[in-house]
Amino acid sequence: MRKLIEEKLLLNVQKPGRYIGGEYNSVQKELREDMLRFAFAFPDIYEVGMSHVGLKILYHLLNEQENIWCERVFAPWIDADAVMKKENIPLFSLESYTPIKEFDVIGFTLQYEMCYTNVLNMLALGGIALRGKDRAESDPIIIAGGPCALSPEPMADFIDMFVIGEGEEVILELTALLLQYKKGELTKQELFFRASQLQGVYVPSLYEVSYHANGTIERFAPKIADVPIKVKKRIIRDMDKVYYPTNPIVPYIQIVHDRITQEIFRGCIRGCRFCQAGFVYRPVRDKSKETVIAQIEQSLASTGYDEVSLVSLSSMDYDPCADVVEHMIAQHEDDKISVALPSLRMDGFSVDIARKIQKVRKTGLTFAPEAGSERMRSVINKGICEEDIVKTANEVFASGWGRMKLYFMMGLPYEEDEDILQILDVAAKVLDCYYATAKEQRNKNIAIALSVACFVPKPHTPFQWQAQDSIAEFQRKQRLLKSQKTNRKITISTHEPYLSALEAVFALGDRRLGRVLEETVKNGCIFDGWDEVFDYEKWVDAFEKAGIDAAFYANRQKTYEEILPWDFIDTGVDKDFLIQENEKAKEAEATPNCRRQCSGCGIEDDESYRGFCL
Amino acid sequence: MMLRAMFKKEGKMRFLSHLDMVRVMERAMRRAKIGVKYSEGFHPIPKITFSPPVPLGAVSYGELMEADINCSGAEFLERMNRVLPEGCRILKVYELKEGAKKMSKCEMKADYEIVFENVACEEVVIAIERFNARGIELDEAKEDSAGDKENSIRDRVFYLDTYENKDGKAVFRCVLDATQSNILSPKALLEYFREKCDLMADEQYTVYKNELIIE
Repeated sequence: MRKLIEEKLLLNVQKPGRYIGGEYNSVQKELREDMLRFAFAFPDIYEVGMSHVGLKILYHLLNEQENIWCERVFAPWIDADAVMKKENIPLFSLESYTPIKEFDVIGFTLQYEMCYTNVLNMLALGGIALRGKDRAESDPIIIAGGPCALSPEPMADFIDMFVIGEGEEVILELTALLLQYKKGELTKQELFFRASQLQGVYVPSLYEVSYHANGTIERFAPKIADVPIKVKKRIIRDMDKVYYPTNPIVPYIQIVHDRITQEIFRGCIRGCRFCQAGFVYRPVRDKSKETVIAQIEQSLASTGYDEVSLVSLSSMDYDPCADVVEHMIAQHEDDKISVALPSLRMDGFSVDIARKIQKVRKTGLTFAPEAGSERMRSVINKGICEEDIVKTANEVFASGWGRMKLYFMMGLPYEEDEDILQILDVAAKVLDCYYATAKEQRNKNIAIALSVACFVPKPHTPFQWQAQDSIAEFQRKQRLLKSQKTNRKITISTHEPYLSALEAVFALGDRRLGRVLEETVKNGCIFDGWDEVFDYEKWVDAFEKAGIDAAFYANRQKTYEEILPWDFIDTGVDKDFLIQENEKAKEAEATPNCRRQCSGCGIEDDESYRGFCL
Repeated sequence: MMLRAMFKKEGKMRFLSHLDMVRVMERAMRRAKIGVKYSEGFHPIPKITFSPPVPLGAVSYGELMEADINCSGAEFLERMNRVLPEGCRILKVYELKEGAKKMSKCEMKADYEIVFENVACEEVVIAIERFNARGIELDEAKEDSAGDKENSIRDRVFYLDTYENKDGKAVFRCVLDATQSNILSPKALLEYFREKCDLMADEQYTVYKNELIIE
């Protein structure tokens, strides 16, 4: 295998560094019979997968266990995919170059819907049957986690078990069962049943679904007794006690986020109504400043990285953020360690911290007002007003930055054309702030880059019942926005509406979509999240062949009464709360953030999560 | 102190690009807690110079780096080798005296083995004979500009030989100029051999840079 890979693959691909493994801090183990072989599979290229914090955590956590060896597998880029198919090289793990079919378990992380075709391609490239029911006892067990596992049904035919929520605890409970299964102490059916008893595990083959004539779900229920009707998510209570790796792998080739990723808290206090993460990872749980600093120091020493990124859903909401930044500046002036904060909010505090960490390079700052009009920002509960934007812009320009990137969405619920045009008003006001800044203070160059995405309604959010705009409507709105732009200092980039439309279908879909996915694989769909590879025609064809109407999932307004495909997953947030939030959105009424006032989302009333919320 | 270190790049490391290797070294130096001088300016980067890239896929036992560091050469070697990834090791260190010639100014020769997949030893023997015969031809011929160009390649070839390795593959050994202003790469040599010495060599070969001789 090693010879085959080195001779046939590595010298015939663009970036062999993606497939070699052996990086510093990657884990080698001596293989034993009683060892569970776990392949952590990331359905995208190495550079993307290696940037992902979930992989770092679970890889090292599993490898801390004496009787588990976790290895990594990534989706080979199209050049390598072609070589592997031509030379009959099966998909292999980076640590030991073992074909994935020889593993006991393959764990996929589902970070975005458009990676589903890559999951299936990876299974196919590994010589593993796609559908769970077609796999034998000798085949690996296929599990999946990550944000998309919270609406798992489109992948239900292919994945044996889903991990719902945060994985650090439940993965060890699950691997204990898998070890028993490997030893022959459990049959596959027994394994599935026992796993379904764990909080945070969903075994799709133990449930059945029936549908009304109009296509909506009539009944979703377990097939056998004692399998839970609702699957509760798992979350970690104490962020200071939970495992966190301080010896992350140091890649050879440059990856997307080539730095130490230091998690600072989970959950988000904001409750922006379009944001799935803001609801499903409730409640907010901080890591203490002491833990954060200790973990950063250990990670720096063990990797030799020169940059640390503080990550969370909204890092500016972390109270000790300034303290951590101060520590880094004080301790690491000489060895040139820099700090990155990827999620800035539009308030003065953000600019102040950004100024501190970007002392020398004034490249640019990115903010996300998300919507152009004051009314729309209330609809989505973004919680920033025009005054915040103007104030932030003034400080940005007075501090010497000349480039500002602003993220927006279009196609949001209750949106009018006027709301879209007001995106340009925001840009104009920001530009005015630049011109109002004294010439000697401001940067010589000014550029405002607007990035306008297409809204995708997401499960478990107040907007889960919303219909997405049609592709034609998105295109009309994009044309409208671009036609009204006159200033050359402002640039607009928009998203591909075809991709956003499919994203909505697979975010909001049910198990019948498995047929479509199977057809897409036959059509050769791969790396659909990548514009240069994505081919919409192949998808249209797949939907036709499967006899499924994409608009039913994406463009249909759902009712509060109907059973949604992900209703059986319990995130701890009440459905009534989501309804109430959607109703408030209609009236453009804001909900204060969790720190200001508890909005009663229900998580505190749930005995599984009681006391988690501070 | 200015230090020059020779390191090897073998095993998986041969699939890494030059820039990847630069990062490997920079990060290893941080792990080893070896202080290095930084460049001035807005975006300070560690001041480390590397010898020119070897082709992707080549194994090398003669890569060079130079840096102004805060420990002795012996310490550098010991501390770096504890934190370098497999396939990369510091082989030798030279502590440079004040005013010593920079690596880019040193005269160097590199000793290569080109191991062919699809070329027989006999073919290489004949090609080397042609190479030598052509040398006599060129000496006798009136020098013209084309001959000059050819000689500029030939002048950078110091030694040629061929033999079979233990796997029965043909090895083309060559010692070539590696002075930075005057490098002749194995690829360029093969190109010359294809063109002027009728060596039918395809791209299926592995280059081993076995030694770098600094004069």
